[in-house]
Amino acid sequence: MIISLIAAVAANNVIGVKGDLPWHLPVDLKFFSETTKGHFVIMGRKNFDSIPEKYRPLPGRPNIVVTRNKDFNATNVTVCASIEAGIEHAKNHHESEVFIIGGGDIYRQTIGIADKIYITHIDAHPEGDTYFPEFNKDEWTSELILEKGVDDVHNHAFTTFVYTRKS
Amino acid sequence: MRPLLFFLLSLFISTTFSSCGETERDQDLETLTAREVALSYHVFDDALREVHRFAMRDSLLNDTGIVQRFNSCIEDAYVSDTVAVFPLYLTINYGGDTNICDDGFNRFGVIRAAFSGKYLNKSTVVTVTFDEYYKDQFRIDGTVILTNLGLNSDGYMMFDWEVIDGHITGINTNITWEGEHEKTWVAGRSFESQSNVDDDIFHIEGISKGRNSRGNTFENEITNPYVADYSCQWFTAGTSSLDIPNLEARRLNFGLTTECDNLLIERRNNTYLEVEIPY
Ligand SMILES: NC(=O)c1ccc[n+]([C@@H]2O[C@H](COP(=O)([O-])OP(=O)(O)OC[C@H]3O[C@@H](n4cnc5c(N)ncnc54)[C@H](OP(=O)(O)O)[C@@H]3O)[C@@H](O)[C@H]2O)c1
Repeated sequence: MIISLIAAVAANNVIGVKGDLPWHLPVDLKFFSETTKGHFVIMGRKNFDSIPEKYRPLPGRPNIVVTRNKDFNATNVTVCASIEAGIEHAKNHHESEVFIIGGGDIYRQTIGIADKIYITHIDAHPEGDTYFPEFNKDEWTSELILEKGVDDVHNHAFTTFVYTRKS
Repeated sequence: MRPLLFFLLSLFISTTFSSCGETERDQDLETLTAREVALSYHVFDDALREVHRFAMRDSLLNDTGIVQRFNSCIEDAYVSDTVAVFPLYLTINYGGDTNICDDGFNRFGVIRAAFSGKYLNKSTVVTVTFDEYYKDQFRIDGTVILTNLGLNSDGYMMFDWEVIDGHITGINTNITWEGEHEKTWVAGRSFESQSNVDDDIFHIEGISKGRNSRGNTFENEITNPYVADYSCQWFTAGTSSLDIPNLEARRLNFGLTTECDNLLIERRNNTYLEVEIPY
């Protein structure tokens, strides 16, 4: 099973601010939707909380939330007490590619075991409080898969790459 | 010397600019079919929404309605009789051009709908046709047949939705389109909110096929229901596989329901392209 991270990252590595995303980029959200569709997605409890109630769990893909809180309760999601347990759960369901969808805490703990990273690089330097972990690009091959300029609904240009760990 | 210099300079400029132009044209060709498929769904679903809005508010066409003109751009809308003896014929006349509707879109011409029975009754057939009808810059022709299939096992009302001989024409646009779909009413049908259609949500599944403006055939099969949330003019979620003979298979994705916009993603292996539905 391939373990993939998927994230939208600003030029200063910011990925979140006050429990939310610092930008609104509909095409990137659709890219996220298309890439993760049908696959298990694993997210931290804070990321889950940041998704408006109306829109969660994310439709069309089994959602796993990781938390250390034994009393945590949410409908139509699988709750796991550790990231490893979440990955194991996906594997046991014959998943071919599991997606770690953040936030910062979860990315930091999983970047070392990732086979692939899908990153939307956003041409912006927003203020934030959550960051994507540094990683050495020399250890990865990269492929450009999507480009988008600024327009009426997108305040920032972005490019999306898929990084694959060199074997 | 001068003519030669001028020649070389213009050759340089034309090569530079034409190679740049090539890329843009290629991109356009890549997404043309996806755009036209999405446009076809949009305009025919939009016409059905207009009929739905009226049918849900008219007491002759369903028992709960309040007779009410629902869109200020409508010049005249009426049902053929004042008693509920079917068939009844609904005419929605948007008048001449440049009528901006409450939702910001431009509609003109006439939508006609023949009701074989009450809209919400099982087996009622609604046949929709168009008379010089335009949605924004596109003229819409064809016949839409909506058949009420009653409630499914989850208690949701279902409709069969067939488009026969559909045509969408406009500047550089000439699409033929036909489709066979099922439409499931998954939210907003509770009795109290029946006359409020903006909270209605439908899931659409099925297959459509046709010919794009360059004459290429295509077939689109919905793999995850397209979501028509009537608080938004555009599909907010759903995926489909789009087949164009002799080209690589591609997938369309309208998103996660979180956004309301005219954008979708077309994916061919690891190539992702943005598609914008014109209006
Ligand atoms: N730009 C992007 O692509 C992107 C993507 C996702 C999220 N975000 C943003 O990132 C921010 C949230 O990230 P965050 O770093 O604050 O939080 P997070 O990573 O989403 O969640 C952290 C929480 O996950 C649980 N957790 C972490 N490690 C665990 C482990 N090993 N085992 C079990 N549970 C574990 C804990 O939950 P408990 O406290 O319940 O125990 C912890 O508090 C938001 O601003 C969000 O908008 C951005």
